Amino acid sequence: MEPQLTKRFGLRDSHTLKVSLQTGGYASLKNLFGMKPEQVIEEVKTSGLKGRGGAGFSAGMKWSFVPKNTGKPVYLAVNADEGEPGTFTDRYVLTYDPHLLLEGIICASYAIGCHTAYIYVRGEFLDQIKILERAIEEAEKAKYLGKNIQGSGYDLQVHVHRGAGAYICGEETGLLESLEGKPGKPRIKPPFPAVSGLFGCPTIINNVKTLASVPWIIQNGGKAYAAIGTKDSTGTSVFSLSGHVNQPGYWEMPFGLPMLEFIETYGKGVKGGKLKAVIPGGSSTPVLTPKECETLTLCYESMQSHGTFLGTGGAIILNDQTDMAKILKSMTAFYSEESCGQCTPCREGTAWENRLMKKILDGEATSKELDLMLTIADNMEGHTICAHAAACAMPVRSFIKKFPADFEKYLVKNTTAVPAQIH
Amino acid sequence: MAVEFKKETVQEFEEIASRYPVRRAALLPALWLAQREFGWISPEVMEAVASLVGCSPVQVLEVAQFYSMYHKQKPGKHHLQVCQTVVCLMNGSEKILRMLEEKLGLKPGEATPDGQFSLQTVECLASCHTGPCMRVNDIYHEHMTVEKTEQLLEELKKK
Amino acid sequence: MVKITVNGQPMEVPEGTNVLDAALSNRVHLEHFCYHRYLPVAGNCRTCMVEIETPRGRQLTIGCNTHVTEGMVIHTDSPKAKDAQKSALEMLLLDHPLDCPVCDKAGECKLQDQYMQDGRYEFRRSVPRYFKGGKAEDIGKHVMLDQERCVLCSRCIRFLDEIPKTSELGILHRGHEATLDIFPGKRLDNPYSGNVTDVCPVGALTLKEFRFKQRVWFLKKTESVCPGCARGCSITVEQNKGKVYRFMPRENPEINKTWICDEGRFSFDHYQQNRLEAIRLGHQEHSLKDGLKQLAQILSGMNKDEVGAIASPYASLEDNFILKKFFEKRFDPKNLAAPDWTLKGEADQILKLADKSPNQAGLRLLGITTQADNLFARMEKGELKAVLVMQQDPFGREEAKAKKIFAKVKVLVVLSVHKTATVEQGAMAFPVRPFTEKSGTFVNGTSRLQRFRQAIEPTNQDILPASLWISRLAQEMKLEGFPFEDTSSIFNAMTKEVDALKGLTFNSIPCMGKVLSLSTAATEPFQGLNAQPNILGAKP
Repeated sequence: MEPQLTKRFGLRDSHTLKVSLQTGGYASLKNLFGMKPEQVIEEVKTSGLKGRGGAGFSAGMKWSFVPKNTGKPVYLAVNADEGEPGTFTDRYVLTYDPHLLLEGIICASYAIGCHTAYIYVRGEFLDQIKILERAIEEAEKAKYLGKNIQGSGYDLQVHVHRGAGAYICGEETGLLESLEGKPGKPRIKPPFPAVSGLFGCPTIINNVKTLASVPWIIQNGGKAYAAIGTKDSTGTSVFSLSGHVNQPGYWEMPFGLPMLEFIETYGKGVKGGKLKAVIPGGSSTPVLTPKECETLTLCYESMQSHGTFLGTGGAIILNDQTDMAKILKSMTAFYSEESCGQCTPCREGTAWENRLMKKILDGEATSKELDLMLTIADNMEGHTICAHAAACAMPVRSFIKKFPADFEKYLVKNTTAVPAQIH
Repeated sequence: MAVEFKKETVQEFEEIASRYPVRRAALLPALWLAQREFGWISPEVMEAVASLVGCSPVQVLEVAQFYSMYHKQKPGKHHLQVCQTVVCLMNGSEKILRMLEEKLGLKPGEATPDGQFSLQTVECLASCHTGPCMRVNDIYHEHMTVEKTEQLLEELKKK
Repeated sequence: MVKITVNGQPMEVPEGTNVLDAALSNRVHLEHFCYHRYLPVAGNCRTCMVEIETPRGRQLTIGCNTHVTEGMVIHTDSPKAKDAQKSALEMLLLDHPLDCPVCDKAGECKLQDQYMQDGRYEFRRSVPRYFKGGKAEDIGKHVMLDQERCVLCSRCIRFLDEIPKTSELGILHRGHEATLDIFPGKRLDNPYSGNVTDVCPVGALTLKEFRFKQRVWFLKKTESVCPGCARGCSITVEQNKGKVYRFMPRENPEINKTWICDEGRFSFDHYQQNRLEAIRLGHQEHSLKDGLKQLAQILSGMNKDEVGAIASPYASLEDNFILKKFFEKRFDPKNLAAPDWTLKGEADQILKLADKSPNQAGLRLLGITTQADNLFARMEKGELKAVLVMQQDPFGREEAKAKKIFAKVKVLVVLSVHKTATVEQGAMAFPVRPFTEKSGTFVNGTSRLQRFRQAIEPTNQDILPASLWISRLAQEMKLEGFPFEDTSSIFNAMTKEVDALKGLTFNSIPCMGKVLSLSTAATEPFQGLNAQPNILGAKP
C-alpha cells in the first residue's frame, strides 16, 4: 500500500517545505487549478472520501451543501481539536506533515469558494501550533498561500486559532462558537453550518485527516481512491491502538483489515491477559466483546453492522483483568466534565450517570440503579443539541448490557442494607 | 486596581484581531496573551481584556471559566496537569496523581504555599499510546510512572 | 397560511411560525422554558419535544426551532414525545431546591405548572443532592439572584443582550457546574433590569420590591396602561384587598412587546403614597357634598369670562372631555388651556419617551390648546377671579412663574391625586382618583387609543375620578347634559362628539389599543384635518 497520509513520517525535517517539495508536496495544485470547483467536488464525491473526525459523512456531499452566490464569504474551519479518548493520530499529521494538511486545505477551499481558512488546534498542542505557523509562513513565502497561489489567480489565507481546553470544541458548531470568541457551546440546527456557520456565513468544517486525504485524490483521481479500501469505506486512514496492547501506536492502512488481526499483527497482541473488550473508535463508540470482534473489520459498514461505529478509528483494547465498571466510571466522569452544560438532558444526564456510577462502585446501589442508568441513557440520546449526550449514553448502554457481571458484583444483595433516599 | 497591557501586546493583539471579520473572535487569543503577560486571568485582567476586545466583562468571564487551560488562580511555577481519562487511567495515572497529592500536599486546583507547584487533573491529552501522560506547563511528559514522576519533581525543584 | 395537523387536528398557521407557537396559539398544551417569543431561540431546555412525521418515520425534535411546512403532521402527545418532555422536566427538577414555600415565583412557576400537568412521577434521583450555587444574592437595585433555582434557560442573558444591550449576566463554568452569575463587583443596574424577573421561568431572579410581599394566587389582575410617559406601555395592575403589589407588563406587540422600564414598573407604589385624602376649603375640611355645594355657589355667582381652567395631559380623555364640556357649557372656552407643566425626561431607543405624561395626544384629539399665554396674561391682569387646575402642578414645576400668574386669582380650585405644592396654594383642594382607581382611556404618543380599567377602590368614596367630580359640580350648578355615573358611559358619549372615536364603545376598544387618525406632528389641536370635534352645545 502506498502511504498517503503518513508518507513523510520518519523523514528528517518532514515538516519543512523543503522536504515536502522534494517528496511531491503541493503537486496536486497543478491538477487542482485546471479544474472547476464543481469538478473538484465531483471528484471528491467519486472518491467516496468520508469524514475522518468521527461522523463518517461523505466529504464531497458536505461540500456540495454550500449555497452559491449568497454574497457572503465562505469559510473553511479545520478541526484539529483532537480530544476523543483513544485518539491521537491528527496530532502526528500536524507534527510531521503540516504541508500535506495545508495542501488539502487549499484543495478544499478552492472547491467551496473559500478564501479564508482557520485551523482550530486544541490548546494543549502548542508544539503543533508552532509547527503549523512556521509551515504557513514558509508556504506564504513560496506562494503556496496568500494572493495568487502559484499564479493561479486564487487567493487563500490560512490562520491558526488556538483552543483552550474543552473537548466539546471538537463538535462542529462548538468549534465555530469557540472560533467566534465564545464558550464552545454547540448550536441548534437548523441552520446548518454549510448555510450559516462562522460569522453567519456558509462554512465547512473538516477533520485534519479528511483534508490530508484530498491531495492524493486530486492528483490520482477519485476513481483510483475508491479502488482502495472497501466498497463503502474507500481509501486509507490512520488507525491506532492503545490500552492493554503490547505495542500501542498508529498505522496507516486501507480500510478493511480485520480487527483481531489488527490487534495481533500491529498491536503485537493483548498485554497482561486475554482480550476482554474492544472499544473500536474512541470512547464514544459502543464496546464490543471478543466474539463480536471475530467478524469485525476496520471499516464504516462493518462497524455499523456490529452495532457500533468506526468513529475516529482509535481502538482501545481491554484485557480480562479489567473491571469494566471502573472503566465506565472513568468515562462518565469524562463526559460529565466535558459537557458544555447548555441542554438539560446532557448537563443533568451525564452528571447523573456519573453520580450513579460512584454509588455503584461504593457498593451502595441495587439493580434499580443499573436500570435507572439505562433509562437515563435512553432519555439522553436523541434529545439533545449535539451528540455529546449520545456519546455518553452509548458506552453506558453497551457496557452494562454486555458485561453485566462486572456491575452486578458491586450491587447490594440485601436490600434492607440500602440507605434511605437522600434528599 | 486596574491592569494595563504593554503597548507591544496591544499591537500583537491588533494584528491577531485583523485576521477575523468580527473583533470578538479574537477573545481566546486575547486571553492567551493576557495569560502570557500576567501569569493568570484575574478579574482585573478580564476587565482589561473586555475593553481591549470590546465586549462586556461577564462575556470574558464566561469564556475564561469555560475553558480549563486559562488559569483563574495564580498557578505555581510548575503547573502539573495529569491526565485522568480512560486509557491513562487504565495504565496507572491515578497512582501518579495520588503520589503528587501526597508529596506536594495538594488537591487538584491548589498551589503550594511557596508557589513552586500547582496541580490540575485534565482530560485526554491525545497521548493514549504513550501514557500515562502529563503536562508541566506547556511540555508533554509521556510514558510516566510513579517513579519517573518522582524523579521529574526532583528535577523541577532544582529549576 | 400553512395547513398542518397537530395531534390529529387540522389547523392553519402563518408561514414562518414554529411548531411550538403553532401549538400554543391553537390551545394545544406544550410546555417550554427557554423559548420566548420576543427573544432569539436557544433550544436548550428540551422540554418542548414533539414528534414530526417524515418519510423516514417519526422524528423527535424540539418545537421551538422547527418551522412549519405545508402538510406537516405533528404529535405533541404521542408516548415518545410525552416521555421526552417528562424526562427533561425530571432532569430540571433533579437538584432543584424545594423552595416553593419561600419562593416568590410559586403560583406562576413553569416548573410547578409543568410538574402538575405532565409530571407527578415517582422521585428517583437516588444519589445525594448536588448543591448548585448560592441563595438570595443581591445583584442589583431591584433584583435578587438564587443560583440554586436557575434552570439555565439563558432567557435573562438573551434579554440583556438584545434589549438594553448591557450584558451583565453570564453562565459560568460548563456541564453540571454551570451557574448563572454576574461579574464580581458589578451590578445589574440598567433601566430595564426588572424584566429579567419576568422572563425567568422560575424563581432564580426575583424582585426585591415583591420579595415575600404577596402570594400571586391572591392577586387580582386588571388590564391597564402605564401613565409614566407618552409610550403608554400595556400593563396589568395586580392587587389584593385594595393594595396594589405590582405592575406587570402586558403583552402588546405594537407598543411594548412584553417589556416595561423599571421606572414604570416600580411606580405602582407612587399612587399609594402621599395621597390627597381630604377635601379642603380654606383651612377647613369638608365632605364632598358640602365642598361641591360651596364651590357651585361661588362659581354660579361668577360671570362667563371670569373663570379659567387648566386641563391636563396626566388626566384621562374622559376627564379632559368633561372639563371641556363643562367649560363650554357655562364659561368662555378661550379661558381653557393645558399649558405644558409636565416632567420631561430622557428618551431612549427602547421604550422611554421624553414626554412623561400619558395623554398629550388626547388633548390634541379633544382640541384643547396648549397655548396658554393669553390665559396667563388675563390671569395676571386679574381678569380671572377663579381658576380650576385639574391634575397639574404649576407651583411644583415653575414656582416663581406660577406665583406671578396666580397672584391675582382669588379662588384657586385644585383637583389633585397627590399632595402637591399647588394643593398647598389652593383656596380649595379636592382629591381625585389616579388611573388605578378609575376606568378611562389615554391616547399615547403614536396616536394609539388605549383603555385602562379600574383595579381598586379609593380609601374613601368622596374621592371621585375628575370627570365624575366635574359632572357632579355641573349638576350642582344645575347645568344640563352631565348625567354621568361612570366613566365608561362618558367614553361612549365622547364617541358621538369626537369623529376619530366614531363607532367605538368603551368595551369594544381592542385590548392592544387602536391607532387613531390623528396628526402626530403638530402639538396644537388639529385643525381641519379631521374636522373640529363637535362638542355638545357648541355653536358650529
